[in-house]
Amino acid sequence: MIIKKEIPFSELNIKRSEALRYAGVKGEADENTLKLYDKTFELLKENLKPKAVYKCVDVYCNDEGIIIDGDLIKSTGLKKFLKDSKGCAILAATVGIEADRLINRYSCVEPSLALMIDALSAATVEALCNKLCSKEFKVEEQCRFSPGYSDFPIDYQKRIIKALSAELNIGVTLNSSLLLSPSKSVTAIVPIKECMKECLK
Amino acid sequence: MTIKEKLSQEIIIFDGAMGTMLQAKNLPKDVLPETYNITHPEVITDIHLEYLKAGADVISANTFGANLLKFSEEELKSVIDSAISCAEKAREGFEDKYIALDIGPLGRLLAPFGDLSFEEAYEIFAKTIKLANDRTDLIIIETMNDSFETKAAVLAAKENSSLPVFVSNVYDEKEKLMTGADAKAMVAMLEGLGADAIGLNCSLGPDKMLSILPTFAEYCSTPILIMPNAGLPKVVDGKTQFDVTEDEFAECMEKAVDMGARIVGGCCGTNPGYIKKLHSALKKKPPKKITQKKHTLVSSYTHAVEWGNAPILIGERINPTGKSRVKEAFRNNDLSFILSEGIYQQKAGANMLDVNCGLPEIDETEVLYNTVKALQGVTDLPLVIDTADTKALEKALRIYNGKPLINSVNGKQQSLDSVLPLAKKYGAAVVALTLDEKGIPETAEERIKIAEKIIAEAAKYGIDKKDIIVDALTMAISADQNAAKVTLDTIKGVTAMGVNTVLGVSNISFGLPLRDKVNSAFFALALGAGLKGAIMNPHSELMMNAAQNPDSGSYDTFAEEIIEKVMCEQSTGTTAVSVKSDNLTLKEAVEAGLTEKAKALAKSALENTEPLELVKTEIIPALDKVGEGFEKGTVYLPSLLMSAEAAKAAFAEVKAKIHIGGSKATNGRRLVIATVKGDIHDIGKNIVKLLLENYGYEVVDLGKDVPTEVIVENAIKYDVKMVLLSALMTTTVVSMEETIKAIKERAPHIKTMVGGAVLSKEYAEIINADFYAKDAMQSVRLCDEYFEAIN
Repeated sequence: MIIKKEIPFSELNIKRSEALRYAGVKGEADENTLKLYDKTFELLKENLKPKAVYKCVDVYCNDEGIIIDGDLIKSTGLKKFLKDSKGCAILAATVGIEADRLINRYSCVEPSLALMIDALSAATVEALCNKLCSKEFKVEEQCRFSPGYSDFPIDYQKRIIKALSAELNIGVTLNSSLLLSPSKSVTAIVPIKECMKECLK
Repeated sequence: MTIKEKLSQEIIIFDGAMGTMLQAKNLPKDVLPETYNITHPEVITDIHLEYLKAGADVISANTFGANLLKFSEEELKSVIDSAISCAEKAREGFEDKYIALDIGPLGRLLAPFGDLSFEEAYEIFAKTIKLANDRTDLIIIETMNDSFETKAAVLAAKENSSLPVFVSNVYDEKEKLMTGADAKAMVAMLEGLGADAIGLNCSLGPDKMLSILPTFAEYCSTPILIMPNAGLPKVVDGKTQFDVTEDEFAECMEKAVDMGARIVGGCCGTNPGYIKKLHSALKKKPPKKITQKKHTLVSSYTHAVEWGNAPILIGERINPTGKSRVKEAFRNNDLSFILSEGIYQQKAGANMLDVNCGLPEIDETEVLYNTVKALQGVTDLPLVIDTADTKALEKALRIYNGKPLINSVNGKQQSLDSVLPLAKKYGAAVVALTLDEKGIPETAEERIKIAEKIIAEAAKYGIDKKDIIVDALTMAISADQNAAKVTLDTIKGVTAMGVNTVLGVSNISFGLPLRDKVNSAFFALALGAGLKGAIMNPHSELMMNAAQNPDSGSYDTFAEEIIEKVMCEQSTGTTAVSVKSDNLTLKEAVEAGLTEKAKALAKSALENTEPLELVKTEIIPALDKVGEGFEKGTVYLPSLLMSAEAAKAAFAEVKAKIHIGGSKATNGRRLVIATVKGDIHDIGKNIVKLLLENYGYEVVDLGKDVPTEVIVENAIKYDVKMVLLSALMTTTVVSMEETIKAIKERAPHIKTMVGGAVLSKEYAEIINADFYAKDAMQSVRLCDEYFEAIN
């Protein structure tokens, strides 16, 4: 069954160093940049709506690849990633459309702020996925595999969006170039442990 | 009895979920559920029949996802035909039961944040509606979670069918649509567009929905529709169940009817059992009377602005009249300047923005359309569409995401005949100027008479007086000292009619010194007389203060007194405010990325330094220093950008000075920049543009998701030597390659430079780009080298 989760921005463990790295800071950030980060953080605290939708399904392997939710996926990378798992979660997560709106708005008047919103929103959606991995799926924070990684076809995003009714549930859609809208969104496969079996329905 | 007649007298019960019922039937999976209309018509008919037997008045044909994004045209026709046939078959033998054509969302986000244009969405909905050919009794547009998409669907229904249109949106726990609109905003837009019922379905259970219902009840003069889920899903013994029982559901819906709901039904998780309970609970219940609400609303895609309480401040700055920089921006297609004007006015406290691009030498229809579209991508303030060109007006109204305000109609018959039908069709409120064929009346009585005439004409089209906002017209008191009194008396008279008023305030001070003082004093008096809104400059502190402090005093001698006052103050002279700085030079301010300081320092330095000298000795050296630091890896991108912004602010001061002098600030190096088709991420492109502009390039920015033809055409039109292209994803580099190919074919003298996350030097070579820039700074260096080499 499909489960929807909203996790408040304030409960996410957003990594400042990661956000700064996304913004192009390759070493120690100067005082001005840190001020810009703080300003962005306050702005996003008010505006982002981190939310996710997932469903737990069985996983089988055969010679050709791996079968998830009835779909055969020919990806040795994903097969390797899920090799010890009996089940996995299909996940879609987003910080919502407001991130895109703010980036668009500040691109005109304050591009440095737009850059930092872009970076911090990306770090936020990562933090959201990390939180789900550790709290919901009881795996390591970054233990997930997204379409486009290694030989996992990027087309599989279509299946994920459809299987989760992601458009209706969290407003995540795919455009014709297979880009996710809102742009700060993620789709992924997460292995789950035996204890999660009760939600395998 | 037609559905509309029934709706005017009784509660109407819709069916429950189709999807939930289909899941229980063990049909083949992995096909689109609308396909069952053809492969398993008996199953679909049975489900309809069960709902009819349970007491539903309306059944929804199985067409929720029947659209061109999912089916070919041929398949679509047969899916829709068979869906309606299944419903008709089920209805045989029942009287007074109705069939709805069911229209659901397309599953794609509309531009600017998705890649589906409003017009494409409209065409997709229109096709479904045309194929259904009015074989049903009504159309229900439901489960919509975006206001823009909802508008596309409603317009498609209204323009391609004569059936009643019911509209239902999905709200979340914060009582908003997924893309941000609240219920008040949706009511404003949908009533305007002529929806026959408005409401909410899906996502929430009945109790949560009840908390949103009062907003509908307060603002909606249209029947209200409510179709909740059967609560939240949970798994019991391996099966998905919903946590609200049939009895609880029926009980909640009785409350909904008490609160004003007229149409009730069920969404996910409901089945004929729920509808049966609903029917027995409601069959003897009299509906609550629907009253006409008096609120004057305009809206954006997030919220509605209500007229009548605190004064509504409409930013006047996006208007070329008397503003040379705005003129230049419209002429050069420099949308980013216009957008900044919008954002700054919002920051200053404007509640709405007036948008006027009337310049004789531009294509107003195209420019107004593009401006409105772009503005609603960066600001959530409701817009005032300000034009005298009805063609431009209609095109802008069509793609406006909300309920706009039209500026304006007047008492001339030709204006009434052309503007009012558009206001009605697109559901806009309209500013009514109190002038007619005879010009602007000199007395308040005559102006009020014109207002009455416009209100009466509007009523003929079904436009309520709540949607007319009367402009009492401000005339210069320097020409006629009686002018202020006539305007203020008109405001009083119109206010007494229960109609809202608005003024463009600044005309009052035309020809006088210290205009801001005159304007604000007059504004305060007008508010005291009952004025409800003004088109004004939100950057004026005096005006913003006046908005907070209405002056209800007598105004008979206002003109004489204020003229005497400002003339006297002017002759005693006012001291100029000097710009103080804390020992920072302009160069240092730019290096440190201090925008406000750089701006102030540039301004004061320009008083005794030549503009170009300042650029050469302060701004460019600062930019160079930061740029070099970036290239060496000691300065990072955020700092580079903050310096670039500070430099830009300083340049704006320089430009203002040179502009007055009449020469051009750029060095004649012009470029076209665009993010290619299919790609909607353009932050990198915007950074490159900012830096190039600082280094003196004139950059024609075509935006994001730009088709190949548009890029090629503009490159030729603007006669540029270089086109810069960005792409973020491997999937869109294909469009980049196509664009380069097209440029090479049609304009081989134009060079191309590419950049973006997935590109590399090798990749750039493969797609035949002339230059590859790894970052923004390098794009400046490469352009400099190239232009120096060819000169």
